[in-house]
Amino acid sequence: MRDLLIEIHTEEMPAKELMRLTNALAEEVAKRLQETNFSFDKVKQFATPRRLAIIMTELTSQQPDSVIERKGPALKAAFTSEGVPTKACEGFARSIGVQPTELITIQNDQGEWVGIQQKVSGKTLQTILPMIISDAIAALPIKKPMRWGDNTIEFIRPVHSVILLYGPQIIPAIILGLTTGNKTRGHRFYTKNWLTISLPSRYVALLKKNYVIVDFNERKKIIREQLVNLTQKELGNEYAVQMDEDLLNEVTGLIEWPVSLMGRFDKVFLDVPQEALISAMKNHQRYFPIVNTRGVLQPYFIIVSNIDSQDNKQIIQGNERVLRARLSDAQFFFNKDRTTIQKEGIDQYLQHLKKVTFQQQLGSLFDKAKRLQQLTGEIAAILQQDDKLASEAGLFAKMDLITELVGEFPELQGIAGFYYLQMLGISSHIGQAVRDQYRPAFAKDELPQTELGCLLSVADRLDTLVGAFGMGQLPTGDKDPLGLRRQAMGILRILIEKKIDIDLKNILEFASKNYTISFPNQNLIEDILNFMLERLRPWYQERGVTADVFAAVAALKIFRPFDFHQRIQAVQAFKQFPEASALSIANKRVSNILDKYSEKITAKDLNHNLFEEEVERELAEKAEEKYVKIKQLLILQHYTEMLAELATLREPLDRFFDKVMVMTEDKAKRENRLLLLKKLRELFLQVADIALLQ
Amino acid sequence: MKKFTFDVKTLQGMIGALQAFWVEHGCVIMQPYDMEVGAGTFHPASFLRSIGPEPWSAAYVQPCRRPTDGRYGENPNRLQQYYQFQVILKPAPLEIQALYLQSLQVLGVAPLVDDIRFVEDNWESPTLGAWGLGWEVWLNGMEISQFTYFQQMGGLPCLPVTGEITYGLERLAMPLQGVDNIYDLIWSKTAKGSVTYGDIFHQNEIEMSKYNFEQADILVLFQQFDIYEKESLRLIELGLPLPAYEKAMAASHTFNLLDARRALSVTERQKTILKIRRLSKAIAESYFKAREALGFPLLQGKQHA
Repeated sequence: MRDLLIEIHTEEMPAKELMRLTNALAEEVAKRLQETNFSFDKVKQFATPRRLAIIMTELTSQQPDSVIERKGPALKAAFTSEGVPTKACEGFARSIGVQPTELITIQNDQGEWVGIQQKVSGKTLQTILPMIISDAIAALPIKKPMRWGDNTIEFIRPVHSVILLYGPQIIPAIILGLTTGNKTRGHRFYTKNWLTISLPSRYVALLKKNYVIVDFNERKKIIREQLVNLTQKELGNEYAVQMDEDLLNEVTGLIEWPVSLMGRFDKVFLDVPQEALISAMKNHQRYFPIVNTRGVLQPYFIIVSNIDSQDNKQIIQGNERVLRARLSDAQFFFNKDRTTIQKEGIDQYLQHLKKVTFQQQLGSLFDKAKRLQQLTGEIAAILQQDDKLASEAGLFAKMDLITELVGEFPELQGIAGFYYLQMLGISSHIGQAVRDQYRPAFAKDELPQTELGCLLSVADRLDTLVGAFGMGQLPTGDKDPLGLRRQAMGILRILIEKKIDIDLKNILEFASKNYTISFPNQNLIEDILNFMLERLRPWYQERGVTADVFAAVAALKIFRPFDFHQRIQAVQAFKQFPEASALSIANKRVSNILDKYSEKITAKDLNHNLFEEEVERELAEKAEEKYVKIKQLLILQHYTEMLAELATLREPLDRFFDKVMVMTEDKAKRENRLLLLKKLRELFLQVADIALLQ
Repeated sequence: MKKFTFDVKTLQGMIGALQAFWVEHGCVIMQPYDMEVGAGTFHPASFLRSIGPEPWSAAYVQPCRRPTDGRYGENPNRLQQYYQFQVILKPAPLEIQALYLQSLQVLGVAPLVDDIRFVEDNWESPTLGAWGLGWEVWLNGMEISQFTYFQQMGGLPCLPVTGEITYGLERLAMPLQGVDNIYDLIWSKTAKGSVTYGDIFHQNEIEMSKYNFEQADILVLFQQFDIYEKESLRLIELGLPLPAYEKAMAASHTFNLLDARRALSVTERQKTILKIRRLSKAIAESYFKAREALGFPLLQGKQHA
């Protein structure tokens, strides 16, 4: 048993892909080795911009030997009664190169055969590994593979060498078009020559000697420490570095030898919205911003360079120059916008939105703003909130999309609006709502901070959904260019998590009439409602709600997401009741009986005189008693209590089915019983279709 | 014989040094194409030569026009016309990155002092029906070059793969000369003193910005676009990919001017891009066929795969 080193040395790979790829490589190789009966102790992954590597410790050099059985003809057919081998037997023996006398008897439950046991020696790692590595590499989830030079091989970036080293021994193979070896490169600028790895266990140390921290997590840790220490050393305790995890990962993926340096920028830039400055630093330059103890941006930043420079000043000055240019741009645009907006005033400024198309055939951004004015106002009115404020938030929502600042920093949409509206002295409620309208921007993103922000975000998304579905632009498969799935999920999350109880069907009708055009898709509201329901299914699944619980509530066609959610929780809780399973079965039974009965039941009310058995009367009385309670609880949306009430019907219902024959000859009695069951079923359906529980 | 040296602290010196370097590495030195283009990639020496199996190595300066980037000479970092130094190596040799880094050293970049980074950047040109993978190269945080392995050109797969190195000459010169404003860059040092970038181009930036943003006649531009498109299509039909390509380049620049005039809605913009792409694809195919008919002369007896 020895250690195995696999290294693929490449040109600089995309920083964000490194860990995903090296983890996949480890997994794919390990899986295949296990499947072929090799064993090992541990797998360790490594990744830098120029290499993916794994080390497997204590890997066996050979598969264990195995014994295989081969069956020939049945024993009866293999020998005559005199014990002479038949033709079939001789043929079989010949086919495997032995004498019939050497065959043994193989016996199992199904009978007896002649046959042979063959010992197969395990294959060596050397013979099997090349194929395993090739297959594992082919299985890597490379988003955009590329070709290079004169060949047709594909990888994420051109490959320069491949190491396959088992202990001190190279395992020869052709991988990604290259002959495997034991050589790699150190840091691009520190080490000119190829490095020879004598043993896998020496890989990490040799690379470190050559200015490569090959372990991604170690590099990340070093950067984290450098950031904290440098801030402390240069600026003291009053300052802190903003350590965004995504940025930290990306920076770790961009370098092999981290050296952090502190840069500065002119204080005058701090007049620009700090989101713009942070975006310039983080997104464009991959710098770490510095804030004070109150979280306010300070005129410093940290560069993580890939070299321990002979003259750090060069690097710092160069980066400061680049940042200065970017910040000047941001400042220039911000001041220009402020001047224009102040001069024109909000109403005139909004007119510019007319020049910008919202979406093909759906009018301009100005039309969109007008629709949002109506729609946000309507939603607020339904919820008995300040609809005038909401209408204004809708009208101003898109004002920043024509600003120069957003033109330069598209990621500042909403945020720029917040600053410009503040400058105009418009209510901060509106400004905050405009700022937050694009939240949640991704699955785990935060929701808008304010109630008005939530309403605006919902209105904006509903308007977009109506437009797209109206024009028949439904997402298909992977294709969802407008991000409609995300938009729909955003609406649902806001309504559910912020407990905003509103009927989507009504709002969608309003939103659709809000468009002045007539849509080719006549069915759009139903399409959107179904689309939204389909978004909820996986969302609940992730939260441990089982498919049957979801189905039980979905069956009711409820279009109030928050109400839907409360029912889901109630049914989920109900499933734990001891009565749940029996009541579900009873509901199924009732449902089947009612489905099968094709005649129309004429009576509206139960006739107690028609009951024969005490259990019938008992059930009817209980049901009538519950009916009143259930109606009260329904108004309060107390679904858990409703189900608790209904659970007490279990015993009378069981007794009913034990004693009573529903489909009796007497029509009046029969229909009276069916009516009782129908009423019971309706009672349960006030919460969910319990019959669908598993 | 006098031996020439290049003062790499001037723009003209940089160009001379880069040309000399790439001559050493087997490149044909071409001249700028005599039409308005948005990027060096439009030059037929890049776009067309990267199609088909024939090997090709070339280097040239190409002035590029990006009307929307004009700032009336007021912004220290943006220009509506600037210079690219373009290197095309087909097939891209495995040591192409190392060659590029050597060329930077020739210009005075010191790899043990400066922080040089290859940062993922995937290039796509919707109008050329082209894409490639590679990097933007950073020098102390400044993007100084684009480095691309062409994967597809005019809708055709690139086999072999062309490596394209595009130096942004002004962006590279700024840190090398330690200058914060483009217009302060030294273009040339003469016996009578230095000639700056501003001396040569500042007036041009002001006037061209006025033209691009205010004066370009939108109606005329639309008419021109239609004519260029029709002509290009006609020439493609006639099996004349090279003149057809010139018309497509003219259409592309006309589109850029319309864009600067904000004359195109989002939809129209997309439609216009698709029209140019359609031309690029047809031209690429026509060019491939024309080279094939000639027996791919630059293959020099190599078998066409």
